[in-house]
Amino acid sequence: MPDPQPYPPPDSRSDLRSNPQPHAQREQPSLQAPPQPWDYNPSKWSQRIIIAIVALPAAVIATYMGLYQWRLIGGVWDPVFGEQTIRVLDSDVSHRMARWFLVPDAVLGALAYLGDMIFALAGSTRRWQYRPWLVMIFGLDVIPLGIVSAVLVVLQGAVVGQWCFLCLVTAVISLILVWLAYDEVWSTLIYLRRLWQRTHSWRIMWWTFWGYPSIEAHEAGQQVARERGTQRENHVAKNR
Amino acid sequence: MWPRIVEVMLAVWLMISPFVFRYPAEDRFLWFNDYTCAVLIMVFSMLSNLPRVEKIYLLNLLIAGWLIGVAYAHPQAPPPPPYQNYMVLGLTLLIFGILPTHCSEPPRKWKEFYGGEWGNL
Repeated sequence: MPDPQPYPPPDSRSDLRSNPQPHAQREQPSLQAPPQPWDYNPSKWSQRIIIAIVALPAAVIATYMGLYQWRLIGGVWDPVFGEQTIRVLDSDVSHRMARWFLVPDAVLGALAYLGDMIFALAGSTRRWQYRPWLVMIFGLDVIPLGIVSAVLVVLQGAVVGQWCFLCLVTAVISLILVWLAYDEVWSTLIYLRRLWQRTHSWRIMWWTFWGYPSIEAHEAGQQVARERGTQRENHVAKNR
Repeated sequence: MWPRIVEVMLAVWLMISPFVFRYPAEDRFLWFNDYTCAVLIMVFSMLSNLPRVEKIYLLNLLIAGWLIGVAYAHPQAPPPPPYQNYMVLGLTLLIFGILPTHCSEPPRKWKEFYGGEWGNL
């Protein structure tokens, strides 16, 4: 990647929203550039489509169990634990959650997996910089919710004393999704940290988080994309 | 663009919900609520294609909140199917309603910042 064009001096930095700097001064970064600390772009389409594809069966399974909890179908298939799945889906814990959230817990799970798919598919291939809010919502939906739901499935087996094969399958899928999604969230956090180190401005952080440009955000993004290359060169030099 | 299309489809589902869930004719609130919310969702989604009001789709989040609120306002928990439908629709609308219209591209402000379009999305 060529060196960036010279930027305006610091005292003429652009306002975050009015953005008055001349366009020709700015280098247009590659949307495919891998951010620190990866050798690949975690926002690339191929990775995000895989996340959506992995989440799809979990959404289908959760919907299937939700249909049973709504009594739109008469039973649930379980090749391993047999009738235990129905006991889990009809357990007191499950009914209590339906009272709290007004819909069966499996339906909520289906919506969470739908959210994983939708948030994975939204945004450009440089969304780690241009839409930090979207990556963070995606991360919140996948990582903490995924871990909590997996833990809940295991706890439910321990508390209710009955195991549910399909629930365990969705729990495993949740953990795979966590593994697939954390790299992009990590790059976004590094980018925001770089921006904070440059500016120490809550105002700039706020507008950058919501996807508004600034010279500082541009430079921080270039730095995060460049540092990865520099780190790699250092690593190669060190091991030469 | 696709989030807005899905929102319009959700609005259509809301319009046919009275027939799917067989609302009683005398339950005017449910009928009125469904059609008012559906029309508003469609209007906000379609208007957001105009550059001057491109953020108006965010008002769909208010409708999502309203639908969820109506479901929680029902004294029974879990509530009857039409209210559970509101809950599911409200949560689904929250997922799509937060996404920008051209969400597969960099934000317009960033495009303007660099003075044009990107060649390689």
